Amino acid sequence: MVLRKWIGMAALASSLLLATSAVAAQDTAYVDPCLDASMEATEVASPPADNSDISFTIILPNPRGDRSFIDSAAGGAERAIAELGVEGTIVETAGVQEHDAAIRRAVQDSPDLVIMIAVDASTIEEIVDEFPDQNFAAQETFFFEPVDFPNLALTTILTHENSYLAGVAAGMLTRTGTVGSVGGLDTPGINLFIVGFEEGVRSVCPDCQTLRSYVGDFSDPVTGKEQALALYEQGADILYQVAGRSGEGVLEAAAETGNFAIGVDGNQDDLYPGNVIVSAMKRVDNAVFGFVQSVVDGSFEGGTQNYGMAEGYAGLSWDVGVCSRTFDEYGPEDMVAELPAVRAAIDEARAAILAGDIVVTNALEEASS
Amino acid sequence: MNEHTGFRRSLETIGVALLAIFLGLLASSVFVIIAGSNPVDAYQRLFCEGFGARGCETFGNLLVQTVVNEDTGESQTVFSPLHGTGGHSLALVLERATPLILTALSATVAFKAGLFSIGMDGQFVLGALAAAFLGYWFPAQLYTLFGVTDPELAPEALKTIMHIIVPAVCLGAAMMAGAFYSWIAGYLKVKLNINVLISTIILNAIAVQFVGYMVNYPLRSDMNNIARTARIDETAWLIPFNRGLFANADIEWFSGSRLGVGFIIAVVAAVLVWYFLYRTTRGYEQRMVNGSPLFARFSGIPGTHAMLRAMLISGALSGIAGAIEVIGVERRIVDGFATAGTGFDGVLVAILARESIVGILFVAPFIAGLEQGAINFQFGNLPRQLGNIIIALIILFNAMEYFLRSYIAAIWRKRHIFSGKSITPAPTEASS
Repeated sequence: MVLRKWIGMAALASSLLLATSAVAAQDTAYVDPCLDASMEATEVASPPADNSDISFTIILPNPRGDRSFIDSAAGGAERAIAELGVEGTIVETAGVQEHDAAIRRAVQDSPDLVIMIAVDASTIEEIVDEFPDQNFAAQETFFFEPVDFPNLALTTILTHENSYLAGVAAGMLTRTGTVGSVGGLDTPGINLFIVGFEEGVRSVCPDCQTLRSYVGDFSDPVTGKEQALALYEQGADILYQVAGRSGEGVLEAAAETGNFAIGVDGNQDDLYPGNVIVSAMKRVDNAVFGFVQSVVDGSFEGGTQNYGMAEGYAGLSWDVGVCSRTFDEYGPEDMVAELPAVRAAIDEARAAILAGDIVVTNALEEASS
Repeated sequence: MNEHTGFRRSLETIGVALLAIFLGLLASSVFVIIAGSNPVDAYQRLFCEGFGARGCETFGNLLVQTVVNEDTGESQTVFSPLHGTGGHSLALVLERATPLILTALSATVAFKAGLFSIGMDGQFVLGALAAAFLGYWFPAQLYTLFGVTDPELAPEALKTIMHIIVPAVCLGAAMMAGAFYSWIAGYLKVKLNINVLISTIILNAIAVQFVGYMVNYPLRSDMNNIARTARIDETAWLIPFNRGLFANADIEWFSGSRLGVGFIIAVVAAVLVWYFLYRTTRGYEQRMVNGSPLFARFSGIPGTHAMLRAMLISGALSGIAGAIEVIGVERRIVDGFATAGTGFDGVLVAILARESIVGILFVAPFIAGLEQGAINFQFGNLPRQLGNIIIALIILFNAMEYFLRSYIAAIWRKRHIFSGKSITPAPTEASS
């Protein structure tokens, strides 16, 4: 009896202690908005509006299941169908050889909008030109020369700013003072990520060394893993992967060697829990949703738009809305303890970028100028 | 069955094919029901999406449709394949059937000589690569040769000549590439008696990897996200009907499809292959090497020559198919082209057509249309995998030719003898 009483007392004391320490932590530094109950209350799902006279078709470049932008795009389309109450058709294709026929078939139904994800630029130009009465939207397509069709809305998501934020996280969490990036190809589109990331790292850790390597392919996880292992060998402990499916090899290398990695495009935190710190997300789903929304609002217009962090099209997997907290759960304790400080620094950097106090280099613009 | 006339025999073949399609649909209705749709609706959509005109909803719409005249508001009944853009999907089907016809002919030539070569895929992609490279490189050489700095300003006469020469060179090079690649397997068979099936499977894999490498590295034209070769020159283009031959005629039939000269080439090739196999001595030799090897040997037919010739012709046909796909349709090779497996579909068509040339001309569009229908299944919010399952089951039942034929023969006999005994197996057993 006495023993049980003591245990009870101890439990009570420790819980009190925990509670006070938690309160102290909240007071001094950082309130996690994802754990804040008041935020959840705002997310009351409003009943979908009835826009069933508005229809769209989305063409996916490959079947779903890439755990990256294709799944993300399909997710955005599903959200648009559910929340906006529009009629939507999601079409998966099995590769480039089917894109043209699928788009042409979609045009036959004359939906209000045909959304094309990662379809080759020359295919898009040809079809958009051929069907001037059909509205199109394209995402994840890179045009070498700017195009201007009145019936094509083209969105480019700029990811240098959220890469900067990921760089801040990496710079604060690195032990060895060396971080690296594994890119798919040495192109402006990929360096957009890497340059932003490296600037983020140096902003919090000026002495940190940054390494780079390029796989030369976006669908070769084996080579991606080899290159990641080589970079870890050189002393890097956090790698930023910007290499599509090749990047899954980078994440795997992190898990195998007990090092860390940062995911890209989709939320990849859960692929190797505890080894993927955070993911720099490209919100293709928001872009798709935005396209549909513009048709519902009647604000659709052709032209090229660059969107980035300010519009919510690029962000981190830690952000409100995604709220990935996998690393908090599975990461090593000493790193987890630093996370509130890291998040506070990221919020600060984000505010500074949005206010224009920090200007992150846009490698894409530099390349084209 | 010896007394069967040719007419009755072909009638029976068609009957077997239709029965097989019906049984395939019957069996796949299990999967359609599991997927939660009505089988009849799903099949109507499959065929409408594949072969039907815009607005096609039922099997009947494949032939007859009621359209509302936009000006007068009257509705009228029309023969849908010929009305307005009604033929659009048929044109698409023929566009997609073109490479299938050629690769199926390629397979047939090899099969007829007793060589089970399935190297069409490798020969196809190599032919495509040759055409894609020459399509932009050769015109560029010609322009430099004639001192033309800007292709836009080239003299009309030069352009006209190039419009004839360049595609011919591309097709010729593709034929040679395909024939050479096929010859390797044939040579290995003749000299070392290596099984053609195995060598062609391996050669296919090598060709696909090689083309993937060439597209990604040496021939990569720009830093596009998806690797691709440079677009072929305007003069190398086998211009589709709707832009070339009938550009001014304003025939809606072809709009939106890239059906063109390539299809004519495929049909001509079919006629030539038929003539070669059945009306020439060498074709006869080739068929005898397979049909009756002993007879062939004793009558002094050079077996190895016949085999090598068959492999060369087979490879050349596949090479042309690849070239047409590039200079007639795609105009460049994009990464992923090589792994699409068009050559294997050709083998499938050849087997389904029972190595008959006329059969190929019908089966290739049928398969092309079904594949298109399966992809477009999604426009009815049905999963595309369901379409593929239906196609697979139709093919499976078609491959059961001998079983179905004996089944029909049994019914036939029964009708003649008027025997009361039932000896026919139930058709549903076939689905299990």
